Amino acid sequence: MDANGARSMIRRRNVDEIRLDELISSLHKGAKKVKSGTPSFYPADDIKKPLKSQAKSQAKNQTKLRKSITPGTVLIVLAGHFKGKKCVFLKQLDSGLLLVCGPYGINGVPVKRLNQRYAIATSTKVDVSKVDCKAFDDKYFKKPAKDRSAKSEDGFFAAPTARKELPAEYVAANKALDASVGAAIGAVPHLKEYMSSLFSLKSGDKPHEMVF
Amino acid sequence: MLLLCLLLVLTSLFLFFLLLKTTKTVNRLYVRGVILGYKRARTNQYENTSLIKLENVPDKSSTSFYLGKKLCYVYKAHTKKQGTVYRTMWGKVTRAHGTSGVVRAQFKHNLPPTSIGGKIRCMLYPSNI
Repeated sequence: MDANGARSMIRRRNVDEIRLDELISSLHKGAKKVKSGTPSFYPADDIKKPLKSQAKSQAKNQTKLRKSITPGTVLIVLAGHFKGKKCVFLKQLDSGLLLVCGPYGINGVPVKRLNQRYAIATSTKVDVSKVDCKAFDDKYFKKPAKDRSAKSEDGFFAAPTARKELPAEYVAANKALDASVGAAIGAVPHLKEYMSSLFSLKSGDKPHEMVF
Repeated sequence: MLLLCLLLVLTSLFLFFLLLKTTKTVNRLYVRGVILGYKRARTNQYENTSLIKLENVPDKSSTSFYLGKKLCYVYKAHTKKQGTVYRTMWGKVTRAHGTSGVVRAQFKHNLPPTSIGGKIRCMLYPSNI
């Protein structure tokens, strides 16, 4: 491999990551001196830099919301603890997950995040224009860090501590959202009953022919 | 006569409670299916592809809804693992097989031959409705 070949190879990788002058000099085996224009200092640890194109594509790769899901759409949860239950879609979070709310007072589904792949969008819509869900983002749902400090023998035998209470802000935001979505549902006749009913398949049902 | 009446009432009460206990809230969110066997020719069989007949899916056009859906084979083993004797094998529907509503499926681990003729669950996710 000649020097040009080596350069083009390096260009293909991340230029900053590779010790350019070392590689070239090793290829030339001291036949040529390395140009003085090359930087004299390189960090000891290789730090990977994301490619420019990669950073762009990451921004582009924000999960696309299905057309059938718009704010206020009633969703049917397909898996997990709340399977078969209905909830109201409020907004899409940065992570791509859906912010949904049962609400808890009606069917027991709390304010939670849901992947759109685990939801069926129904044609039923709730007017959520007055619902304020600014307080909710991915951070809101992050669990507090575990206490990883060294454990002592006394601590092991000590009586279990009482359950930690959720932060007051968390509970307040949850209740406020629950109430406002509940009010929106209560405004439409029979919607409350629909929201509290379970969806399930019965014998002879054909989901491929169903209109949700 | 009084004793007979009392007995009747008691037995009816007993039956009623038995019924209460056995009828649980049904919440099925999967389509039932049957494992027909492996994809095969006259002499060769290809164990990495299983054929599944889904309930109430009579033709090829109806299978399109199920493409990509997760399949779950639930079976019973003798030893408890993670507190249960029931275990699962997961796969997904890959394409239609023929024109009568049978689908081909790939599993993370190939289905065992004992599963042939057995029941399978076709989940409704990943959903695109």
